[in-house]
Amino acid sequence: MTTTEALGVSAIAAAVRSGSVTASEVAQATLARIAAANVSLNCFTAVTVTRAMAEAEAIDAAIQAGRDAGPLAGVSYAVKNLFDVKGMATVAGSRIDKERLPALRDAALIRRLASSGAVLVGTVNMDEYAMGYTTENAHYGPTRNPHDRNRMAGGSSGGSAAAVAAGLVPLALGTDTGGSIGVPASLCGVYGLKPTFGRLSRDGTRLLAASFDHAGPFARSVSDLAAVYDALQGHDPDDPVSVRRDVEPVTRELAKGVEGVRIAVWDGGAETLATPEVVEAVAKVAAVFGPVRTVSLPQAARARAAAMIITGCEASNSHFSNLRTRANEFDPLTRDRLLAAAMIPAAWNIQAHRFRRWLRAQMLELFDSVDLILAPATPFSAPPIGQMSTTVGDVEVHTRRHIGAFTQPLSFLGFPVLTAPMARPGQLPIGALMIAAPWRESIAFRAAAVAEAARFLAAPIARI
Amino acid sequence: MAATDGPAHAGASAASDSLPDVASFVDQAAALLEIQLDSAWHSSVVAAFTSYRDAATLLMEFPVAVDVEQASVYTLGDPNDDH
Repeated sequence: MTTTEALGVSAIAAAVRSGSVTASEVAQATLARIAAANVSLNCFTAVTVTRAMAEAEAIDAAIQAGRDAGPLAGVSYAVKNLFDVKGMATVAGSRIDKERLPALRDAALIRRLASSGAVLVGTVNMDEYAMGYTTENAHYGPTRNPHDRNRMAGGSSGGSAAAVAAGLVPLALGTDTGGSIGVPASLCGVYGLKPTFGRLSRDGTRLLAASFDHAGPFARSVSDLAAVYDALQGHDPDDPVSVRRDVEPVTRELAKGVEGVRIAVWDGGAETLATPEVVEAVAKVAAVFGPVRTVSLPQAARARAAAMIITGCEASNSHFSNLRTRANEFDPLTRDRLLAAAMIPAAWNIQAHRFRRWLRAQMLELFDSVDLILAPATPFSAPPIGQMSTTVGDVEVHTRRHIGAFTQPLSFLGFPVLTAPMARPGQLPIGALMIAAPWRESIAFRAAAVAEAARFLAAPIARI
Repeated sequence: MAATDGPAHAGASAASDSLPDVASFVDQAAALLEIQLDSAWHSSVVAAFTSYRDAATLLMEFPVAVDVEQASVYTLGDPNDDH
């Protein structure tokens, strides 16, 4: 059996295309890793063995026939279990949705990865209906952090981040409403991209809050993240918020460096929201770029408040029928918030939407003078599973709620955010957010590539 | 668009002082919406609604100018329009 665990996306695809390893061998090795590790990590909720081997064999046949097998030929990946996979019920972390009929076709992003030669090996765990930051799922159990199995993987795309961090797959897909890519990427120590709202199709995903749900990838290097992001781009008429915009590949941008890029650090009271080790780690990464200015995200606390209200309203509306008739079948962590959100007065929701519009204008103005903003991705490293409160400075905070302190104000605005794992040998992972102006994902990629080359970022495979 | 320096959104002032009892509101809203609240999770729902209320209080105090429209989701406009 071949060993591809430590290889990146491009190396695997190159090896498969050259014939030095077959896609079938890669798939078999991946499935063996999952079988060995999933018992202790609880990342995967379904492993698509038959499909994976069929896709891999099709790749091998294409190569043998001299056809182009695609830029991701033979690369294994997993998807959060809210993505439609043809022939499977899309459970979205819930018990109720197990009753759904099997999906008639794959989600749009799965179709894109398939056409690029990637091989789907399974679906992974998440918070129920993506409404959480911890992947402590009452129905499927908690996903465990590969760097310390007693700790949270983060959420809601916790299975995706953990599977990548553990080296089970080199890439995975997740979604983000208030930080569901940034938070697990930070706690598991991998790269994650929440692109600009409207950039990547959400067709075939179970939405939480339709007006700001995003889909995005996880990977263990900047170049891997870029490769998959490039494969995922493109307008999709089946997603009503998908923007008709040219594909803007970032792989070819990675070597451009950051000369002339105006970089700043978010000084939005980070020292009061985050532990000192997090603030210090971000400062170290910022130092890679030389002297940088500091900026404040206007009204960050109100941005969280608005995000919380809009998310609650849109999510509770989506599940309203089941809240009335089957509330006892929800995960309690989700149920109580959804029930409460169903009662939110319209005036609050509309004010939140108008505030978002105002804040977007403020942020665009801020990006007139900077190109990239660095911030902590999470206020602390992974807390123990089940921990209700965490001390930040002298303050006791609600662990599950406070995890999104930095991501939620940004996700709700739709600006692109790349989460990058800061190099901290021997310590639990913490991520840095690299926030760019709308449609400027390439700036974040270039900065991440510089910091990675300088060894200030790293996503080593967790030893489990 | 910018925030006004004028008064807060109508109805927002002193919101926390004048709010009715949250538990009563939750019970009445649940009845109106035909939602059954099990006694086992009633207090958790009240706590969650209190969090939403606190968030709303912060928001409603903020003076967003009257000409600031909510960002559109539904649109018949140019698909090149980002939002």
